[in-house]
Amino acid sequence: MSNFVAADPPPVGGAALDQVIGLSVAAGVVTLILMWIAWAHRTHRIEWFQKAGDALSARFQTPGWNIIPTLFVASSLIVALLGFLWDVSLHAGRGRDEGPLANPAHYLILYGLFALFVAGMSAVVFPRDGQKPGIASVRITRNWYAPVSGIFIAACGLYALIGFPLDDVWHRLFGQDVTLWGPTHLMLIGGAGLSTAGIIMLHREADFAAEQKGVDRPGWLDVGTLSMAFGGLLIGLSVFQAEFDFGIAQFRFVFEPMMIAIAAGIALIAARLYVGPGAALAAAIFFLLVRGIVAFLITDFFGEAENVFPLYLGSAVLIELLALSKLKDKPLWFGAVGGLAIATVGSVIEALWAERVFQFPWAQDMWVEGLAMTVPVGIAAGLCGALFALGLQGRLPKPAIGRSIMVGSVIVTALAVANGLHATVPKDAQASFQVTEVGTQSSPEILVDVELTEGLVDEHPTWVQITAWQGGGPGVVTDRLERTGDNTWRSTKPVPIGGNWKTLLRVQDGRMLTAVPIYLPADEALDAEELPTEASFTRDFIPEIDILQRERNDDHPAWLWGAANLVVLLCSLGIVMGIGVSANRIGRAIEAEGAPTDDRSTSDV
Amino acid sequence: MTPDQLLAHHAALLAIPAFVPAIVVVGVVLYIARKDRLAEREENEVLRRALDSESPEKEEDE
Repeated sequence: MSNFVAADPPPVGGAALDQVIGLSVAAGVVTLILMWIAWAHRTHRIEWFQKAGDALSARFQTPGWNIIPTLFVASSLIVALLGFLWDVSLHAGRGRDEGPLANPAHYLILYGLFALFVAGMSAVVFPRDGQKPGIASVRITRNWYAPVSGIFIAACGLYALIGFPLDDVWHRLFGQDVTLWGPTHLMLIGGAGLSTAGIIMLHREADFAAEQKGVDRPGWLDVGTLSMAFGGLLIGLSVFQAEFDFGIAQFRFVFEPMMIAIAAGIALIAARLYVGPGAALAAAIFFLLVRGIVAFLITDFFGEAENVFPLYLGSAVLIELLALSKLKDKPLWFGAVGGLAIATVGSVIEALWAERVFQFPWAQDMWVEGLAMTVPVGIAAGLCGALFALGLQGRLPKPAIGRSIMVGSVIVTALAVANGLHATVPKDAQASFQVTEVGTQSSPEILVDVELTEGLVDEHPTWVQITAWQGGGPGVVTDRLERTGDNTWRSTKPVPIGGNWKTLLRVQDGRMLTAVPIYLPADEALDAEELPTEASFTRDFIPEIDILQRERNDDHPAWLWGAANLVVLLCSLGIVMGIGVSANRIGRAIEAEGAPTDDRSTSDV
Repeated sequence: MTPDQLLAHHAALLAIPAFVPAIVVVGVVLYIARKDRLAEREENEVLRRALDSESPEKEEDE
């Protein structure tokens, strides 16, 4: 058993004071140094920052205010991604933390997000002496202009950073929510994920500035950089799927195809339209490479819970093929049709991949509802992807059309999410277990025969499975039960109980999402007693969240919960609007200057 | 970790390490931007007055 299972239970509250003070001092010193560098650079007291930018600029044929933040953002995001997936695997395997910094992965996340903010700021402070970085630059003072994408990246970093302390406040108010989809968790990962769009926009600003100056840049460098950037966007948009990637989704399965279609629709369609032939495929390959390496590091190097990821290659091929048709000359139609193809054919390909790779296949009963959510959202995502590409090309449609697409997409997605979140718990339903103990005394395991209340599940439930998690170490064990009769099911492999394991029977069928605890450890910090496993027992079905998130406390006024969610929602809408405003500003500026005659912008809308 | 170990109780305290530096930086930039805008307005005002005193008949246009 790991060190984690100490004599004292980990507290359910927040950080120890010394952690906060130590980190505050460190962050304060770093900030002061960085602010001094920015001030000294802008007032010509130091020249090395400019020289570094010039050297990189000469090497990559792009302005320093692009290349410095781009390299910085990329490195920050890789660290943040590794920290994030490592963190999820630690929680899945070991449960809640002893405090925000008791978990090594949190340092990586904190560094990654802070560096993301600093990277955005580096684009803001680098241009000096009144130099205008790109045509869409924002005036800060009369001789200080900043690229709008740099400001967007810094805003993403700030948004994510706000999530960090807010997360801790959240845990204090509402208890720790051991799920990725806590509102503040979504801020942490969403800010980092969406900043990838900032890199692409920054590249465009620099690209246009270079074209205006007549700098001849090698095409392969552009295509390569951009394909990686769109691969980064695909990774960024896929972070919300992580619970499904670890086989511990606490939400209905219909979300999975929808989330994949959103990421593929935006990133792959924008990549193909803006960069050119092969870019969608290259972006998908970049995604697989990075996620593959990170998954290898977490599983084989750190020895934590396994994670997998969607394929995206099928959707990428679909988009590449579709682009061979004349439809490509009508980008918005291309986006809508491409989104539809991704949501339908692409989903079937992902289902085949999931069957081989994921712990739970896409069950038959989720298809109708899944497609009803995925198709409209996929089309909206495709339209947004096309709109993003058009903005980058300086060929935006009329403002009313652009706004309608953005607002419509947010509404369609919100409706689909609301539907997905709506889950039911059966009343008066029980499961009766016959338990066979296997395993050893120190690490007991069980096999079960279970009988469910008659008629609880239909012929094709989404899943009837046992999950054991948070037992310490690489600890997520799942078993899809074998059906032995209309209402009876049997284990196919032993699952652990005892120690710190939380072991439960989970049933999902249509809207029903419910569970029966099989074994739960005592938890002094929560004032919860052990729930032992007996040789045979019958227990009621209850909401999953009561077992999976025992740490949550419902001991707060409803308005506080509502207000807290509203704050997070407003911040999130702000960041989505930020992409729209930045892309619009760049698109309109390019349009006003006259789009250059490059093959990325020769076709009609 | 012992149960009675001192925990940070004030929510704001927890916000310090990651969040406050970023807010300070944003605050400084906004302060500089505002100061410059005010200075610009003042200079324009001075310039306008100077021009006005040179050609007082213009005052009526405004």
